[in-house]
Amino acid sequence: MKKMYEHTDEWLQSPEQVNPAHAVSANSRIILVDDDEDLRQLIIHKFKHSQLIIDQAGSVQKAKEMLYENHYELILLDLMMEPESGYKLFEFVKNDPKLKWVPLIVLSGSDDIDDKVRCLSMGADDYVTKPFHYKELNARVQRILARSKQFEQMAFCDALTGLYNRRYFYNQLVIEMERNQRYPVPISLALVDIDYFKQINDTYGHPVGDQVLQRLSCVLKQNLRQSDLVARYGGEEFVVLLTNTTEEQAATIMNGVLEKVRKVCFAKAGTEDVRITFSSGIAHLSPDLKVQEWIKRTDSVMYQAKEYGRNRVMTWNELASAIRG
Amino acid sequence: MELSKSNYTVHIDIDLEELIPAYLEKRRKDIQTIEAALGSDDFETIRVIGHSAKGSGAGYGFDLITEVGAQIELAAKAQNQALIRDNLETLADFLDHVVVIFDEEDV
Repeated sequence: MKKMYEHTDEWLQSPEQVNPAHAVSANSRIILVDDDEDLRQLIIHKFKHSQLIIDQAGSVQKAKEMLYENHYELILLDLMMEPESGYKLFEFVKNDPKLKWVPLIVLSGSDDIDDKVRCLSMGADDYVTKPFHYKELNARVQRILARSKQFEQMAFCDALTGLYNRRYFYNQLVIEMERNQRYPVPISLALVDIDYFKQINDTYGHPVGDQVLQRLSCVLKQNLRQSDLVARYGGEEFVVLLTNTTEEQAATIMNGVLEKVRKVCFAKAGTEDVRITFSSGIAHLSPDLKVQEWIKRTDSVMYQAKEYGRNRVMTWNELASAIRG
Repeated sequence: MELSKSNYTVHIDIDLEELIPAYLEKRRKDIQTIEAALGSDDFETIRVIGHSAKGSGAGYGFDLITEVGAQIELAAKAQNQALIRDNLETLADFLDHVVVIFDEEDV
């Protein structure tokens, strides 16, 4: 678990410091699909001093498996592969609801204008003819990665807090659930809702309310693990996906965060310290649970945490036990 | 394809130094594979090898391997044994005489 900072000043950073878009820019992960080992080696060797992480696949089948297992920010795809053509993978990617947004650069030995037009029409972001110069390929890769990050930030980040937004979270939730079907591990979802947030806005005004949301975002990021995905779900509500984590472990983590929150001054209104608490509901992923059911279940636990007096963390198991009596 | 002495000297970025011996060795094996494929009129194998050499040669710094690879690919499509043999000879001659000078990176 990430270090819990003892001093308020240390862990109350500005939202820019926890912006997820900054975090991904350092080590973009891309996949290189080419059946020519010499060419793969050359590209990987040339890019070794860059900050890119390059995975390689020597066949269409291998690439499909890797695209499902990992998240890539760019696909470098050779078209003329044996035994299956790169076009097969191209069509597969463009027909997949999740993968079709991943930028794709075609690497091709064909200088034929019809091939270029076909690829661009199918949705390729660029077309590079072999043999290519590394500097040119690198420039094209960097340009596309930078542009897609800008788009991603606009589409998937919450402007106020710098956290991921609901849309991004939902996409990731679906991906994690699919991964969990293949490789089942405990996985928990936590909804976090600030207690009496309306009163803060009404009493101190919206600028103070915004400050509270920003500071809570920082507290969440700083006190959750690197592997936990946190997003602003809407209004004063946040959501956390905790992989490899049981409900009980998630409750321990969220109680730790709540403990921190209770000690923090979230804003100053004149001489008055603005302090908050939150209520959190946690539910683990049960087999056969659909995404909407899981969210609804977590939401119902959070609602119960509110009903039980707020300023607390509750789990689905606790709620079920309470109901059973 | 006639080669002058200057064609045998190739300047390559020093960061590729460790990859070059294995790369050139594979091209020598390509020659053997193509010769065997010629014996059985397996032009598809020859085309794939030519295509691959065309794609990688210049990237490593060997423009001639790309040129020869492109010629072999075309000749294989046309099932032109004489042209394939001609280019194999050029490639073999190049591999026997090439002198690689490793330069500081310009990237």
